[in-house]
Amino acid sequence: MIFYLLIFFLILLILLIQGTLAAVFPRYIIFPDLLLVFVLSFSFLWGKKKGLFIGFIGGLAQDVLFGPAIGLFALGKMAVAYLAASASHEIFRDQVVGPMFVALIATFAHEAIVYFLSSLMLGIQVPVANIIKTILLPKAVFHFFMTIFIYPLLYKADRVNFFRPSLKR
Amino acid sequence: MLGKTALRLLKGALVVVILLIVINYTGGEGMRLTLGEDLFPTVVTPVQGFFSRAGAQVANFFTGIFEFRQIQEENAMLREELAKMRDLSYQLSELQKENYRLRELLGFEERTKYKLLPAEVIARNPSYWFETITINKGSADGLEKNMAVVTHEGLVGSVIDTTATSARIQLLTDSRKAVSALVQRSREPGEVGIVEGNPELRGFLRMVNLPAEANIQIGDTIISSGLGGVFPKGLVIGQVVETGKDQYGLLQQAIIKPAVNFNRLEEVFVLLAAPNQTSDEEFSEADHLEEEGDGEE
Repeated sequence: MIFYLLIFFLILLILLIQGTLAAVFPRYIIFPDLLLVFVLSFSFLWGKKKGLFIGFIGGLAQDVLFGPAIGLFALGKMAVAYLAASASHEIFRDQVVGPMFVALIATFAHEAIVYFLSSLMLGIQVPVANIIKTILLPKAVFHFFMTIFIYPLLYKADRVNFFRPSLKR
Repeated sequence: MLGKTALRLLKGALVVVILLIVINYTGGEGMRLTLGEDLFPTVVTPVQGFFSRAGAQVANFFTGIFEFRQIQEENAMLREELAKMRDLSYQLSELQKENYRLRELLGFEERTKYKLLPAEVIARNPSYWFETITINKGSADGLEKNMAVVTHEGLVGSVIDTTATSARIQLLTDSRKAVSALVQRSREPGEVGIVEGNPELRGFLRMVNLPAEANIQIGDTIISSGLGGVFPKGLVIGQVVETGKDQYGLLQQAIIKPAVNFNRLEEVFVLLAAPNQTSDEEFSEADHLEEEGDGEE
């Protein structure tokens, strides 16, 4: 129970920070999707079941707070979780390089899903080629380097059972 | 073994299908699903407000450090402008008094009957696919869906969703937003076009469906036409920076620089009146425009 509460509050905190940063800084500044990096790091550490759950809850909270429709970011974040958890079987979890490359690919996968569903079901029109060059690529690189700091932090927190206090010795 | 995998795949497919149905259902005009969906943002809004104020202070601190010289120059310029504005303000107040007197004489009513409600921007959609902001006023303050949102510079967008303490605003720059507009200079009834988010040029708008013979020039101010009933007539949208033919060469289109600085929105005003409460005068004027516009086409 404490585990789920901790995760929920962490997700909420991340979304509040993201929304606030987007509001107070000029629009042309590119901000990372912190939630995406956290979801993929957790999925890499804890596998598919927990990863998909965290991705679903995180995406759903993002949908409720900011999204134009419920389920859009939930699907996107679940895809990120699935990708990261699947990759964790093949890549060594104790090193940060794996999650870094997953972050790079997951950014494109996440945005592709959100874009595809939004243009198909919600009617958005955006110049994809321009967005890939000016926003998506820098964002993917941003996530790639952010994972260097976030993944080891969560890895260490997990080693000392920070998210599961009942397992502490 | 195969059965287990198939079951997992089936479960995954089921989740995806359910989510797709939910997206389709809630993606319409601000459809809400559950009480929790309203309750969650309501609880989060005060916390978001706190974050927003703290974030703004941090942002201002860093902006101040990096732009010290620029601020000094701006300060000197602003002092000069203030002196000019004082003179202008005096002249304006004289003109306003004269205007009121003349209006009274002619029996005109004041055109805008909307009450303005100030609101603070507490969050912005971090995803760049959607241009929406969240404000700290909601249905408890009298906000309703489709109310127009403005700043002192011009039109910002409209309310798409409300909770008791917050509301989501769809900005003019969102690619899904469209506003009926006309050229302020000519106010030609046949020159009503549609202003929408410009997908090719981020941060700019485009005016489409303008007749080929429309009298539109670079520098013209574009205002809302009042057609459609969501936005009252006369709200400034922006200025024309480029004109040209559309892709088929039959109609004109223009690129509009928004009057509002969408890069940094801190405070906005909501026009407190539902569209159906718009004055009859405005609608009859708008209908008249539409009829004449159709006639010319």
